[in-house]
Amino acid sequence: MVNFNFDNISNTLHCRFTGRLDTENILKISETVEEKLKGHSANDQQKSFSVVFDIAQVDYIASAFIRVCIKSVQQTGEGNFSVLNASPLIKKTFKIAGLDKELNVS
Amino acid sequence: MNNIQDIADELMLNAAMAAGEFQQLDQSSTDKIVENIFKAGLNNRVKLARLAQEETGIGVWQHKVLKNVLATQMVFENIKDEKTVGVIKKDDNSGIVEIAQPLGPVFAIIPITNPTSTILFKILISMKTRNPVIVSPPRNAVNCCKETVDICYEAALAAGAPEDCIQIIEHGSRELTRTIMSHPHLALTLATGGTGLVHAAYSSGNPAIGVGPGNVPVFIDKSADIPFAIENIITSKTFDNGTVCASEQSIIVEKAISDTVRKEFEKQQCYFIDEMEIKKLEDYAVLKEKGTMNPEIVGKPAGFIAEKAGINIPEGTKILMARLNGVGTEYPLSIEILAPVLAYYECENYEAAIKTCIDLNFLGGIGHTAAIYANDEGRIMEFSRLMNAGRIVVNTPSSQGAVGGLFNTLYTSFTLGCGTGGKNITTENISAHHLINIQRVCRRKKNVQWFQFDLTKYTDENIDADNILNEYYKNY
Repeated sequence: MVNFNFDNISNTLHCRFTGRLDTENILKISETVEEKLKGHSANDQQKSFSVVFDIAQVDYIASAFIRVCIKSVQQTGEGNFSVLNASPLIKKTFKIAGLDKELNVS
Repeated sequence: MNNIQDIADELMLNAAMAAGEFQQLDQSSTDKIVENIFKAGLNNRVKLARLAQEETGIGVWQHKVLKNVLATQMVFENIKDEKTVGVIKKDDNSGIVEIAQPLGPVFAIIPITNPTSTILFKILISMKTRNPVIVSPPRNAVNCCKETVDICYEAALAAGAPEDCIQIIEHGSRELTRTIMSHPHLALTLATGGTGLVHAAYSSGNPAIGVGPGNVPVFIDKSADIPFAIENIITSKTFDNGTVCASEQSIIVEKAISDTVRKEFEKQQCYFIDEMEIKKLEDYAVLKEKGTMNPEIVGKPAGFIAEKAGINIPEGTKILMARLNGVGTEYPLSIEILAPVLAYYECENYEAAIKTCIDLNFLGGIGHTAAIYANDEGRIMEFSRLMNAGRIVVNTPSSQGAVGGLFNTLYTSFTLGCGTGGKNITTENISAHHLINIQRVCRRKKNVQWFQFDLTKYTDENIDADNILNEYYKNY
């Protein structure tokens, strides 16, 4: 449901999500994501650290996923977090929530 | 979190995220949520009715059970087969396809007279249209409202609804209400409440659907079945001790049938108070300086009101009847009173009776509801044309008739539009179809007349409107 890949050169954590991110599934993965982010931000305190959520393979998101995004942007700081490859329907979800800019959704 | 703005922002952020998730759901997922809530509400109809009556001290719990049934079963019957997601209509002839979109977060303001039923109703129509809802309960009914919301929310989540699709303000204030009503993330306020509150909703800068107050005149025509009419009026006016805003407020009859009508009311346990007693009742039931009913009497039985007013009435009296000679501030009992009290007018003839109905209709009840008992079609239609009312109920208990679903095919609703007279946008009974934005996909469809018409004629000042129309529709 989520794979992590850390790019040392750009100092970016890529999180690739797949499937249906409904409340139940988010509950299963949110802790892992949070820990992964904490781990990297602790290791790289000196450098700027970025996080990318790639949701190309996601067809549904619950509001719980948006909360995970909000937590992540709080950890990385605005400008260092982005959501990539959102489907049009999911992009609209972020728009309606009023968070597409804050979470840098494309 | 103490700051009003922070509380509002938090509620609205939750609602906005729920709205985002909601718009991904299809019709069948949406319908599953609605069905689950309907069942949970209906299963808890008695518990919620008892809670509401105990907490507010208003009305009759058994009647509140029926209100909860109306708000769940009847509303569900109305909306269950409605298309509210995606393509809802396709017309090949016009080339127009209609697509339903949710509005976004809805702010549901709840009245103390019908707290649990109004919540059930507003939640069902909001969920059917994929709109998250924030419930604002009245101060003296927070617990029963919270219980209703909890039951609905649990049922909604179990059926796959978004987190925070239903929220409640447990510690409300006027300031918080106003902040939410004007919040940039709010889509709509569904305002059922007092005039001040509804006005505030309309002035908030966000769209609002409000209701107006009622002051329902009931004309009993000489063609009416009088015992039937009186029985229906009593059933309606005593329902939940008169708390429904569409309940009867005044009875208007011609002198020719007045004796029969009075006797029938008395036979069916209504009590006509005399002039001295009218004075006493006015002093207790109406706050004259404000020109409104005393909130203490709302939903109280006739015996309680009589005792408080210092009037002796026969045991078992159902309604206090006050014969009045006029309409307006000099006649305090001519205003809306949500309790088993009825003004009674005996008029010289039909024309005078209708004029009295118009006066009453325009005394604080414009756009709401009017009622007639008659078997003369001409009079029914004439009365209907002369009233300014969203609903003219015929040979029907006004409370249950206006709310719809039992005595007619009106949409069952706990928010009754009162048109522009009541400062509302519609005269309809509000339901799910008012909570969607309809997009119209318009296929190219040539206007044949336009394209065959010589457009240069428009620039010729010597060609008048008649000539243009003749040419425009030539060979049509």
